[in-house]
Amino acid sequence: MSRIRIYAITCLLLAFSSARLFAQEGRQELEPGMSQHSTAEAPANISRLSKDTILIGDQVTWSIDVEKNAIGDNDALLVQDAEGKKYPVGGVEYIKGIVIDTADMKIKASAVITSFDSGSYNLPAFPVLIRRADGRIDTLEKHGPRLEVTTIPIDTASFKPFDIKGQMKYPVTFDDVYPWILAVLAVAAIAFLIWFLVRRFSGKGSGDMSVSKEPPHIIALMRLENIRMRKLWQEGKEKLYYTEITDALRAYVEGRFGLQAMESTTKEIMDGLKGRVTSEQFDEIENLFTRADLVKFAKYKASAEENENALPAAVRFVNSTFETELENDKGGK
Amino acid sequence: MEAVNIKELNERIQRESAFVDILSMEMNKVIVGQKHLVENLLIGLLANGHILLEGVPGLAKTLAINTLASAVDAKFSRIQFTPDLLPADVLGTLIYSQKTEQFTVKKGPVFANFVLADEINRSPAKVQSALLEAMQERQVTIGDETFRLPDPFLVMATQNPIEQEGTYPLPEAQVDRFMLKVVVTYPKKEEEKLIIRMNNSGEFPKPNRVLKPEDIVRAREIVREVYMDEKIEKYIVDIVYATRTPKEYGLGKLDGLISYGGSPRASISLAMAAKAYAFIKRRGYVIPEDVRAVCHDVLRHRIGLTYEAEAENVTSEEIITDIMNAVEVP
Repeated sequence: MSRIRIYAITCLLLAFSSARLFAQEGRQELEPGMSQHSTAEAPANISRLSKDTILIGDQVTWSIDVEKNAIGDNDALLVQDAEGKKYPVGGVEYIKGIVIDTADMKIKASAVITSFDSGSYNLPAFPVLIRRADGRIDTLEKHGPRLEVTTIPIDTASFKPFDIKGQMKYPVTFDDVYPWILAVLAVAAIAFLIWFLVRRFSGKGSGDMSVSKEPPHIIALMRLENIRMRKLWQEGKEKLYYTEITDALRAYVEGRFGLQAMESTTKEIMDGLKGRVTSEQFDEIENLFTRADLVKFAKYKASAEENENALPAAVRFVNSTFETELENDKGGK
Repeated sequence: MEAVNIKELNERIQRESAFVDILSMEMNKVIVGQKHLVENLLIGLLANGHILLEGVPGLAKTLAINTLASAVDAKFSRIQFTPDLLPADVLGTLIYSQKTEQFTVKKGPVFANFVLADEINRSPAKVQSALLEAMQERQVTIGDETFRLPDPFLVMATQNPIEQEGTYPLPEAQVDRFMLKVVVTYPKKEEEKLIIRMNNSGEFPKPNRVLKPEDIVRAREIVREVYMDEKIEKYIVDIVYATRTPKEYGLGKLDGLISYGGSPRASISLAMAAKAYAFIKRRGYVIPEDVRAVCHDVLRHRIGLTYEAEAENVTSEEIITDIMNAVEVP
């Protein structure tokens, strides 16, 4: 009988000691300065994952709910070793750190985690502790849930390798090109301003343009009048006299008949005028050009009569060809 | 500046240039058409400049030169340029005489008034150089002795532009020594009919000797006297300068097409050829038309084209035409 009693007492002692041992296992590693507390007093909470199986790189919310009434008014929740800890366990990493939300009836602590390596991960206990008013620290759970990270299955039978995809091209929006449009407009405005200023100050502005708009016969007559006023041949400048007369006539022929007279010889000019002026006009201008060539290139001394007649002959040619054209225009109408 | 009496000069030229018509007539007896070729041969003869003729075979290049030489009572020699020709074959050499036990000079065919260098681009550069040096210096050194070439001395070289296989194109520096490069073109239909008739009849007219070498030398002196006004000189310089710096003459489009322009020798040749042309036209003074008439023949071999120009099929002819159309005539 006494043996049976001893046996029963031994069994009770063993059962008591195993319960003590089980309670010891629930303790977490505490930071220095934190006191240990038995799990028997800790609230029974279990952390959970929004998904227990994810693909590589998927994000999952890891959270734990704590009933508000399980925590005293003077108790507080602590994030364990949150500063600088990036990985809850090797291969799993935090995307968003632990956030404690006390707004609801439940206190909710959560974090977003992910993994870039396939496998099975035993997450540790959710790293949030309760600091009691008397300074004791309680853990919330013994160990965390299991996270399965899977990869995309590859069908090796029908697998086809693909090249690396190129850079994605986004459609060009107005916001993208807006600064460039502004820059081009600014450059164009500056260029126009420079052109305008150069044109204005180099004397090629409106003044010259108005001159070039004059009809060829007016320009020619003005030039011939200018030659007459200068009395060149009377001063012995016969060569210059004939050069200026023929230049004025060549410019006129270029403007009136569209011949490239300034870069043409007398023969070429006369060939170009054949059939476009009357025979009287042709003969008169040919005589004038020929004489001018002799004076310019052969030291020909024209008589006073020839010199006197040269300018009126040029004026006659300009006026008569202009009038002929007017008549032709009227006839055409 | 020496005073020039143009009236008197004109009258003299009227007198002295009479032979031009006779010579042209003799040449036209044998050469059908090719007026431009004949005219240029006369320009070369009167301006003391050598002529390079270019044209496909069968265009009477050789015949024209033969005829000119026959019409002038002068010594004529023909050298057929071949790949194995040596400078001594052209210039002459020293030959050892066993009889006298001395070296004697054997003058080459270059010692003639008219030398026809047929197909000049078939010989290597050393032979071309030998001839071209003689053309420039008008003297030849054989051994220790230097010999003057006869006066007048005119080289007329021909080359075929289509066959490039086995030829040695003349370098730019050497081609510059020819005053004129005349491009010989095909005769007109009527002219070709006449050529066939002449050949079918078997009667080939022969030119008469109407001129002596002294006449040519005298004519050359008169050609030099032809009056060229300062304005014409400026016009010539403008044209040659435009080949060097086309941009300055509003020809920016030619800027990348010309690798090098005409040399001062081009200006000299242009002036001399214009004077000779005025003489042929029996004038004692040069007018812009004379310059324009010879411009292509004087400049076409003196303008270097770039690769861009060759790629775009731009020819020196087109460049010269553009320049003539851009440079203001005095």
